Amino acid sequence: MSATASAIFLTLNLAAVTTLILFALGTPLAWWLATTRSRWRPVIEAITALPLVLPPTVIGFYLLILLNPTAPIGQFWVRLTGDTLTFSFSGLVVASLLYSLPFMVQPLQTAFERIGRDQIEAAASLGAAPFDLFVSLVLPLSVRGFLTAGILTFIHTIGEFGVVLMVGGNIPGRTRTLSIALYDHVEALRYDEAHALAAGLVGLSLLVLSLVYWLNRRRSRHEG
Amino acid sequence: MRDKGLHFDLTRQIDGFRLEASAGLPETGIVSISGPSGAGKTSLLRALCGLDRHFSGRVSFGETVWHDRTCRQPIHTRRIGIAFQDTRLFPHHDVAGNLAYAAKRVPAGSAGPEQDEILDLLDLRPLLDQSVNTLSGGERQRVSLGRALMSSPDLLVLDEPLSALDTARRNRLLPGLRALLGRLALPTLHVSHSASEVAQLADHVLPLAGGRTGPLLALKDWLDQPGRDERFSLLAGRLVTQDEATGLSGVDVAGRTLILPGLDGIAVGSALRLIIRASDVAIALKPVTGLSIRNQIPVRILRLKPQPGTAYCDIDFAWTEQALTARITRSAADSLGLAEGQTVIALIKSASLDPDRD
Repeated sequence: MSATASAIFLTLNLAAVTTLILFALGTPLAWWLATTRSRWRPVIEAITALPLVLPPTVIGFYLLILLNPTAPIGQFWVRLTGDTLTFSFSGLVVASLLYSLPFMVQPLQTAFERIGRDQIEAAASLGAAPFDLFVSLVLPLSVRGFLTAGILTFIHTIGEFGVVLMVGGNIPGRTRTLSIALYDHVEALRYDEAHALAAGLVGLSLLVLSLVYWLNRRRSRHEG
Repeated sequence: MRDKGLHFDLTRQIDGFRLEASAGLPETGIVSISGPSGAGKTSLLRALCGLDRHFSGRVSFGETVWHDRTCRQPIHTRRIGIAFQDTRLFPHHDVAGNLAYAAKRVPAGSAGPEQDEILDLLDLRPLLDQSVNTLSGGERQRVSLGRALMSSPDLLVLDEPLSALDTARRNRLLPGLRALLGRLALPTLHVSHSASEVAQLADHVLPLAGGRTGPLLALKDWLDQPGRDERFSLLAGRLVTQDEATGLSGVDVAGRTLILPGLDGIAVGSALRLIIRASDVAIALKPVTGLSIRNQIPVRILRLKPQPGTAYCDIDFAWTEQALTARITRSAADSLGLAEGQTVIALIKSASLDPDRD
């Protein structure tokens, strides 16, 4: 496999794994944020949004400290799997989960909040237990939110650079993602290859975002 | 000992407003909560249903405690069918899907209304395939009521259930709804601004004013509350004829037919409650000819009740099983020489379904 192909495969793999895990983690978190009356809500909301405002290198730096094999978490992972979290694919997944969290949680939270208490009260009064209610009412009414959240998370994970560089380094086939490969090409003045990668990323992003907006328009006209 | 039915004694503080409500509602029958807007009707309903849990006190239904200091029974296990004023239909289902959502979640073996019965009563068949977004306000309310009934509830809660329906359709629907609820013996809590809806539906009325409940009243006593300057009679009848040419309807009351305007659109055979103002009833000693008043009914005088401080005298009649009250002046009563036990002719000028009709 060529270096470029391996970087593309690694990146898509990372984005897919991150998106799937974030669906599982982000959905309950977004649901809690959308429905809770806890006074902790603003704090949790702020923590969730933190990756949006912090420089990726800050997140990467702290992750490096937390995940390295001499720290408790890193040590635990080594004992569990025999591999380190830093400079490994697993470490990249952990970092991406944190870094892309707001892109999953915020669209979902917005979608859940749009449903409103009224419909939920109605479904509950008709005998829908919480899980039933979520599957039969909340999921179908927030399909658009799930689509948007999934696509944004996926594409955002593809494009991350700083965190990956800090936590994963630049190991071909293991942690060298598209944006790192691009950086490599530029450093080495291989502009042709850099162009191919950069244009590819621009095209892909444009395509995916157009898809998101097209879906949103179509669904809102359909629902309107 | 507590009997079945809904019992509550609760206090709810909402900013500057304090709700203090207590009552024990009968095991079956329809109770209307009546009061001016801002009296706390919706707050009370929400607390009773468990949609609002931030209050102190106790709510129980039959043997089951729904809310007290330690217990909060979740709403999905309470089996309350709620017809919301704002309908709250599910936008991702069509009308049939909304009804099915309720029907699917009925525990096996629970008794409830037949689906066909609900569809016919609320005239929902023509709507079944429609998206809920295309429905009018009145249609949405009918679907919402149908969905609540479809859940085979143990308690039905109607929050302004027919406020978006026009008078004709509401008058058409109320007798059938009342009959259905009676047949199911389904205890029902009802809130409406419309005095006519209360009069046509309720068995009892729970007055609520300024956040405080009053004593539970029989409908007749509610109509005769001291707050009203009018006295009313409540007659149970059945609509027997509809004449579209004249706009007059015949209502059978205890074997006598009253000819009345303003009841068009109601199906022949519907049970009605006629509300008659005491001041709309006059008295003659024998049948009168050459008079515009068409309804002349022989009745027996039960009681003469001169009203102290006024020029009036109220007269209670027995008309077979039913009670009718007339209000005439004291001097008229004297000059006619009326006596208790005497049989006279009651001249009924008008009757309506609505105590608030101007």
